[in-house]
Amino acid sequence: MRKQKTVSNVRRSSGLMAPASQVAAAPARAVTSHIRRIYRDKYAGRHRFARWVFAFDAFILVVLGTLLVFDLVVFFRGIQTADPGLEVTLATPELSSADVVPLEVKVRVTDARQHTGIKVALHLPQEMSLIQAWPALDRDGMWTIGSLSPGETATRRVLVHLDATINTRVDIGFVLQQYDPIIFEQALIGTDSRPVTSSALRLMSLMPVAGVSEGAQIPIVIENRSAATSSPMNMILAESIGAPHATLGSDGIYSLPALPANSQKIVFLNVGTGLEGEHLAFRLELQSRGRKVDQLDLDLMHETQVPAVVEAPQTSDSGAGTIVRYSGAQPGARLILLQKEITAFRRSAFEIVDLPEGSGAVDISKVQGVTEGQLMLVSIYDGDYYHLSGQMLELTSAGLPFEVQARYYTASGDQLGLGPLPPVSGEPTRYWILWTLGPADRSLHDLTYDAQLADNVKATGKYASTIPISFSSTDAAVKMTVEEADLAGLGKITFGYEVELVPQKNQEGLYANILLGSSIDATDEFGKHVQAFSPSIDTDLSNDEKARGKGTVQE
Amino acid sequence: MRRILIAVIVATCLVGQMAFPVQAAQALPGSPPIINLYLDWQMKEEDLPALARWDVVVLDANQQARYPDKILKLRQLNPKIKILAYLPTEEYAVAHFSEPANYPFARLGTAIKDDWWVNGPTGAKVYFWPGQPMLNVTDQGQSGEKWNEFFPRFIRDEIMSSGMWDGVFLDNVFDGISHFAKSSYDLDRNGKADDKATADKAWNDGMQKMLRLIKQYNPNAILLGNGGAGYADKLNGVMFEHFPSWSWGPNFQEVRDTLAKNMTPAYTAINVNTDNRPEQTNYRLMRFGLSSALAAGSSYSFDQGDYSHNVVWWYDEYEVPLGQPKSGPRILAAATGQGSVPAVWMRSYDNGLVLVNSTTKAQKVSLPGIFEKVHGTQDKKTNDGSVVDSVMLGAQDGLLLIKRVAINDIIGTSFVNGAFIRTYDMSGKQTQNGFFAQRGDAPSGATVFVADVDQDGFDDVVSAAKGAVTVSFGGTRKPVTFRPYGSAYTGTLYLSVGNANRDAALEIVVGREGKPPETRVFTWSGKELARWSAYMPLFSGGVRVAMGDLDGDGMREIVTAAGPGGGPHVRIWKTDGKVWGGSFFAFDPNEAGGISIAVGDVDKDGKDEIIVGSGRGAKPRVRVFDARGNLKREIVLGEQPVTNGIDVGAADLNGDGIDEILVGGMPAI
Repeated sequence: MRKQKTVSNVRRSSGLMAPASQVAAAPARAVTSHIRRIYRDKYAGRHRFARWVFAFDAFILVVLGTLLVFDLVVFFRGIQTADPGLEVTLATPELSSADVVPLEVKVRVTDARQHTGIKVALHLPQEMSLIQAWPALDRDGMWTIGSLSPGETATRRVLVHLDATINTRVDIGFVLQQYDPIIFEQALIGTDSRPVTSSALRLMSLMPVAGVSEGAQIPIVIENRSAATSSPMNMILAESIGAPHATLGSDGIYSLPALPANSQKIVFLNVGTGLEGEHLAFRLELQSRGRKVDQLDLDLMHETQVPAVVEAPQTSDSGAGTIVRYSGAQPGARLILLQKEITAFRRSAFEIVDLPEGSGAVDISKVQGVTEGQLMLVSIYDGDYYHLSGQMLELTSAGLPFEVQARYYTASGDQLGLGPLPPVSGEPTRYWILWTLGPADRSLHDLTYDAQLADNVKATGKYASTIPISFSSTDAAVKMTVEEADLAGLGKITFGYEVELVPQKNQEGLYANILLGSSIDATDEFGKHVQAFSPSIDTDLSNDEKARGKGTVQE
Repeated sequence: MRRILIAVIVATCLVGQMAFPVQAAQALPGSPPIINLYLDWQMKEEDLPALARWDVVVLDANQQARYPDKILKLRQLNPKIKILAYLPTEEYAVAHFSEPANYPFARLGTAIKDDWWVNGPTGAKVYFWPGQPMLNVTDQGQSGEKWNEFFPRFIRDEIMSSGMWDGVFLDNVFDGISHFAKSSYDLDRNGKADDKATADKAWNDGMQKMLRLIKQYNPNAILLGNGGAGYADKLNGVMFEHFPSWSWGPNFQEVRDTLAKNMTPAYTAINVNTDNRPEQTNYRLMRFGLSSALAAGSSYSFDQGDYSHNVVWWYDEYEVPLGQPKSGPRILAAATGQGSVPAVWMRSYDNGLVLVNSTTKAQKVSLPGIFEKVHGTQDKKTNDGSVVDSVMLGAQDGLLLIKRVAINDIIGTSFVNGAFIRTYDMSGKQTQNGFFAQRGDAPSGATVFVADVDQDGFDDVVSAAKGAVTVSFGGTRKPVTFRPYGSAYTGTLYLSVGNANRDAALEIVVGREGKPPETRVFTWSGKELARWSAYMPLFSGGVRVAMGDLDGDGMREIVTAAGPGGGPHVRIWKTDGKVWGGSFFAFDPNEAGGISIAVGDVDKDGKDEIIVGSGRGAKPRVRVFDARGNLKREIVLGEQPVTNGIDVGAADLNGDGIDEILVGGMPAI
């Protein structure tokens, strides 16, 4: 048993009763008196270090009291889903699938307080993939806005690629956080649901077709209307009526690589053999990242009439022409010549050669736009629609090497270009377009090079050639004319000209087109008409080793 | 023995001094003028080759006795160097008292009179720098000859008379005494401290007198003063140490004002240093100072600081051949809210541009044309060799830009119109970005040579294509066309232009493809002067031509080279077709693709060299030969054979007085 320590409860006056402080000290005196009483009754004599125990208990009591007050404050104040002083709005254009979409989120202060520690983030749905953000996101995937004053607005932007099924909705989420001195952090979470009303990728028939014979190949065009390169795609023969052996690639699925911006591609639907009935129906679907972005339905007649029997093209005796012999041509028989690859530069998607009734021969080399390497379909044209036969022939190509590159540096690293690289919206960047011809085993004369310049691109007037040439340009095109080009003697010849691009704001984060396409047109030493085409070129200078990776337009 | 050596050195230098008048010299023609304050008493042997690259070097005056051989070696390494003796004007380091008696400073010490020292009211000496009591430059407090009278005489009799110096660097040329003396002073020795204004006035008057006498006694000496700019008109230059010492704007203006007052030639310089820290790679600071100096038009010194004036830090920018300023500096953008203006300044030079940003923010600058950044080896991020028409200039930074060579700059050598051309120096280093050489006033693919053929002061364009030579005159003359090989020949022609006889006008030398491989010489009007077969008449490879002065005697020689099929053979002729010198194979005799030929002084030895380019189907190489066919240099340009071979030329494109080697025909892609 612990020895009780006897203490005196009598204390001398501490001076609190001094007359001068009597009134002011009264409440304090009451409190301290109460505390002393508690100490006296509960602690003094009961504990070895009574004062220390009392002080410790008092401390615990204070802490518990503080926590209680805090919880009460939190309870009544609540973790509100929003500090009413901040407003978040999301701005998007009309959503088009298989396209790039700019999203803008704005945070605005709506009350009279200074708000601090503000962070905001977008939660993108799986249909959207991030291309670029301005400014760049923090490591935690959020933008740190910091402080905003009353009435102030902060704007953040992203560029995303959308691959969503057309006529569906996508939910774009956002999170807003801010620092609160008491609560430490508040969060606002919300979503914005937007419809996907169109698609940048389209399916269409190259020409109006009303009927097909067995084995006919229907040219279908896939077009990318976006300002950005598409994702890889699949084209699916979703439904086929009356054509049990119709094919589109293997297993009815045709895989396609990404299409450059504003470009087209031809794919052939082979109706196959063993057609049944008078009517045929096909449904084609275009999918991007597993989601349907467009659909094409074809209702066609099953044709049995043969428009004409066409032989393979032959070079004429003089060597100057390409002769096609035919027999049994029906009224309206027509040859369709089309390039396997479409470029934006071609004057028309296909050329036509009408076949007089009966038998005969036509020289297709004289038809404007006919080149080697094309395909030839045999059809009947009724004035409105084509009825395709199963005959498809390929015009063999003699192969004239023609290459076009855009460069900022030469292969050895000399700087040809001028201006910011990567290009910056609103500022000019100059590139050199270098095109080469040959080597080949023949001479060319009356050679014309044509190039269609992209929007926001113009020729500067500078050019270079080591053989006599004339150069001219307009706002949208460049033309170079060479009288004689002896490829057999000179081997590969290189020509060049300088262009200037000023990217627009809506091209930020993307590659910008420089050339929409170019072609050469000449007559060889045998009198044969020769053409070659080159596809579009953008600021992704994949041939330019030193400029590689510096093609995306910057803010 | 020592005295004999000194006597020989003195005699040599005296002769040299009389032969070469004082003038501003530069280590490289057109490059920024630079000064090195090399005050280390050691004068390290390994530093001498580097030190010789400076235009002006300041050495301790004692070096004339301590290392006269090293001073001589500096002059041998750089005959144009200016060497100045360092001498303080108003103090004397007591350490000099213990030096050998023949040292100038020791001799000076023995001559100092007691009443030349600056004393305080109590008689104690007054100091500016520890260990170096001050000397009284005023006329006060001294009996007999005064310090400001003795010192000029000392410079003449003890320093300049040695013949080793081009002038003197006068340290501590203060405007007054009050800002520098570390304690109160009694210049008139009346036992009372002087008031500042009176003392400063007396000091200034005394210094003016001293400088006047120095110049009077040493009329040919360069006088470079370090201290106040108040004596600018009595000096060839003022050194602004620790630039900017208080504010860039007013300091910059002070430098410009000083230059305007200096005696000619002007050597005013700014010194920027790293505050006694070993920060040789503080390229931004170096550039800031250098571009400030170039903008102001002054010389430049960059080193470690006043405790370490003994470094040989060399920078890429020192070798940029800017040439002479074309105009004064001008402000592009000014910062606001400042007193005197920190701003972005620009100054155009013959061959480039200087920018300096004295503000505290980075500034974007649009350039008046297209320029090329220095192809640097040190700060490669800034001097990346890129071609620009605008730059982002960092805060308190500067930039030297080289004028981008344009097609109109190719004068005095032939080239194929429209070819992609690269330029190299003799060491094989590419001197700038290649470019397409396309003239609009000549057919694409034509051989072009620009020169003032009729010597009327205007450049003329001589072009050759399809067998015809056309001379388009820059003056008022109408174009002339002639067919050197007759109307039947419509092939390629090779050209060179130069003076083939003793008249003023230039002649046109022509070669051809095919046979016969005849070289022909014409006046600019098409009159034939000479013809001869460079090779056997049945040789079908044709002949290429070039013209130049291979032996430096002022008379041209014609050099021919064989076309495809005959081996890479070079022959040298007089302008009338007589054989001159020998012949040689420029490459392996089995290389039968033909060669191209040019002539130019690519190593600045006063004689043209023969430059040869490899032919069809060969690995691209350039070889440089002397007139005797001795190989001086080979430059390998790539490993892949070039189908049509390469074309060579030689012309001074950057104005540094040395021809660059031009190479056309290398593929751009």
